[in-house]
Amino acid sequence: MHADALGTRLREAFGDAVRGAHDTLRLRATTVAQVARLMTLAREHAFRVAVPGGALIPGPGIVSLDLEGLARFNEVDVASQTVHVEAGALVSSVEAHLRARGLTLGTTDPLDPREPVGAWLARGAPGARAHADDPVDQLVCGLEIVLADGTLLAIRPAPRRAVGPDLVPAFVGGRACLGVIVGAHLVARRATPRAEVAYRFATRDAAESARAWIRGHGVRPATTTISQDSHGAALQVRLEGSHALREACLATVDRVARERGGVPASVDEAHAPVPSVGAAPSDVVRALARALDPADVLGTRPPHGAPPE
Amino acid sequence: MDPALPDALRPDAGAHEALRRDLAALVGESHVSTGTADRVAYARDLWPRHIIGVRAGIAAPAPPAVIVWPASVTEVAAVVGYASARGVPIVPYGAGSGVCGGVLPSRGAIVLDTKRMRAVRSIDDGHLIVDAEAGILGQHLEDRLAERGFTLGHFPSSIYCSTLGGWLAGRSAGQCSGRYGKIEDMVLSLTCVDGRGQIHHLDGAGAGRDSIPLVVGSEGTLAVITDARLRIAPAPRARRFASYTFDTTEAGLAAIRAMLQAGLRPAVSRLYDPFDSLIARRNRPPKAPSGVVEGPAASKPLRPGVGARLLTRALRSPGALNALIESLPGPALGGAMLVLVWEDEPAIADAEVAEAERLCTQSGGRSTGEEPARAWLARRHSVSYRQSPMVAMGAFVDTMEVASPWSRLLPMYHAVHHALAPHVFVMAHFSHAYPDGASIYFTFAGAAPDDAAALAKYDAAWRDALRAVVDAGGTLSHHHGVGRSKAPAMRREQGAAIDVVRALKAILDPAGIFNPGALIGEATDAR
Repeated sequence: MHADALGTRLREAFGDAVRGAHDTLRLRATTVAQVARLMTLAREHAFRVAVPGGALIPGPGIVSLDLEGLARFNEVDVASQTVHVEAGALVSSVEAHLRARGLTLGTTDPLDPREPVGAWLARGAPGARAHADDPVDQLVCGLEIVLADGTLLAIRPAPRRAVGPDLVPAFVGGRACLGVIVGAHLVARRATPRAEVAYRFATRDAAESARAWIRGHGVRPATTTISQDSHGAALQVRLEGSHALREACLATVDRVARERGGVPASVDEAHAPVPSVGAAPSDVVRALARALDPADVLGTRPPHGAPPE
Repeated sequence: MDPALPDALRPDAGAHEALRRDLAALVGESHVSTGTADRVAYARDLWPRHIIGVRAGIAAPAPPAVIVWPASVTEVAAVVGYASARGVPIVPYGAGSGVCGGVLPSRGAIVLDTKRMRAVRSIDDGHLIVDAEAGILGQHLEDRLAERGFTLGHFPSSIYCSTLGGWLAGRSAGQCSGRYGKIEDMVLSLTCVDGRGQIHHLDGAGAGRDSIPLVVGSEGTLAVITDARLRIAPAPRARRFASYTFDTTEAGLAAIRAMLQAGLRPAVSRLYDPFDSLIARRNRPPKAPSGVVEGPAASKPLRPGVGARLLTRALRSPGALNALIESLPGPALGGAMLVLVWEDEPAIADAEVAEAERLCTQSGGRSTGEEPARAWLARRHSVSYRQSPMVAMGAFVDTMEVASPWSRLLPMYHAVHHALAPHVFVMAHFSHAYPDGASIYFTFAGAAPDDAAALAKYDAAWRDALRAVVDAGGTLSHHHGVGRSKAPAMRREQGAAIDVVRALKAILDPAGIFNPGALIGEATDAR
């Protein structure tokens, strides 16, 4: 569809929510229904939609989806320590909201103050606490996604479930190839004093081994990171919880790290930058994307003539 | 051919023999069977609804055509490729301990038993990883790890009669999930065979990050899992026990929630509602040595007699019984019992025990010492073996494990209780806790004048209970899976997610040969 005709069609459907013109068309959605309607129109009129956190870069024939107006978050579910947020809410705002209630998302580094939740999750929630550090913990307990055909998929919040395949990891870190994250139920943790320690190892493999044994001995770190340089690798362990529990865990960390060849190091030295983007979708998820989005509305396939990724 | 065989068990001589011959060429003559005994044994799992059917004389309503035991992923791929080309259904089979009708082959199907693939390939003691084949029985895997000083930390009550592959296919949870997580939290990579016979090696550190969770939990409908690498732990250096009694279930739940949200991770935290506590207290072994785990033989069977007849009669009208129990204040039944077990480094365990003491007391708990927790550990695998005597005396027993966020847990507990109460006698415990929620494990028993009426009552109980779970904001299953028992309610909870899984099935199993009717077979109500 020609850019002008597309703009006209979008304005008919969304009125003032459509911004820009020609190659910079942008829908500032404030409701999930608008996101769903945009997807339906995209399929009907063969245009693509660039989604926050997605791999598609805005350009000719592409409508940008702006979710800044879809940014409400509900009151914290204090009993469950969860908060339901819309995708456009800034992660830093959510964190401030939680902090005011003594809770935190527990990320490793200061958050990008401009990053919305939906984009952050689509990129794999870089800097989030790792499930492997505490298998009982999770960051996302529920998710809402608009699929490429406009269907709303709601994964209700649950601590764990056994009702078929877990779809959450296909969306969190999926670079929006299967759909647009429009809401999430995030699990917070109590903000408690922290203790941080670091150890230097001759090799990354030795640091990985120490981390495995620290976890194996029952230490549930808030976060662990491994950084690597030409001299070897450093393991940083951050612990939370009561003073007595932190002390007990610190003693175990120290013993295990030394047993595996670690030498105490400064925490700053062990700081590892947060990776900006998660792994690319697997072949199975790519195939699923093709099945769910045959018109390639979300633009996850290489253009004609381009080599496959 | 045995003229006494019921029609359902009569093999289709030509077709079954051709199938047997072709499969024998792929896996060897002695690893294929069309024998009647095998076809009956593989016709079902431990879904209690089947068991009512068996009592009514229907041992195998639709026995499979053939059972095949491949020894490698290559042989699995060959069998699946063969079946796919001919459109023959395949039911992947571990040890058949599922309780949701996940195994219910159709007449003419191939049952693919994975138990010949049972090797522990390696134990990486540097990175704490075990590489094992999917057909290994749970206890055998744990034994092999224990020989080297490790544990998987996965102890479902079916551990003697379930396989690693079955655990992964059903998103199983073990009793120590508070320390080690569920099985999906342990898997690092896996190999599986899709419905076209193609082999996939999925590595969680790479592109498998997003596809492993799609295969795990697929209940044999998308692929056959043939091996996996899993995170293990050194055998715990210390085990600590504590038990508390609370006047109410609510107070006990508040204590568990406080512990989990404070960062404590007891391997086991089980809270029994007052009536289940009463039963649990009566089931304590009199002189079990501490730390010794009893096998199934140690459970005391119920013998049909006057008491059994009275119980069966009472279970026919459970409404009054439930109302009576519910009307009693918790303390009249002895209160709600909480048992806690830690498996950790001694210093960590001691710190957690002290903090738990403070939080439980704060919630109104009264310490009852270590003994109830030790007694639970000593009999932890015995409960499942107590159900058969109940069935033998004319009743039926089943369990339902659901989960929700903490804020919805008690409303769901009451809603399900009320939904079940007109049909069956019901009790519950809370056995898997997380910072954001927990699982409820309902146990219910019913009886009816005859088996047809028992089936009708059983189905009505499940239908109403599942509806109550979804309406209360819970999830239909925490760790037993869906099978056929919960499939009709799946769309009510999952909505469009069902269609995504169906799209996935069209990709991985385009001929639709894997375990038809299970998990996403919402239109096929096996009831």
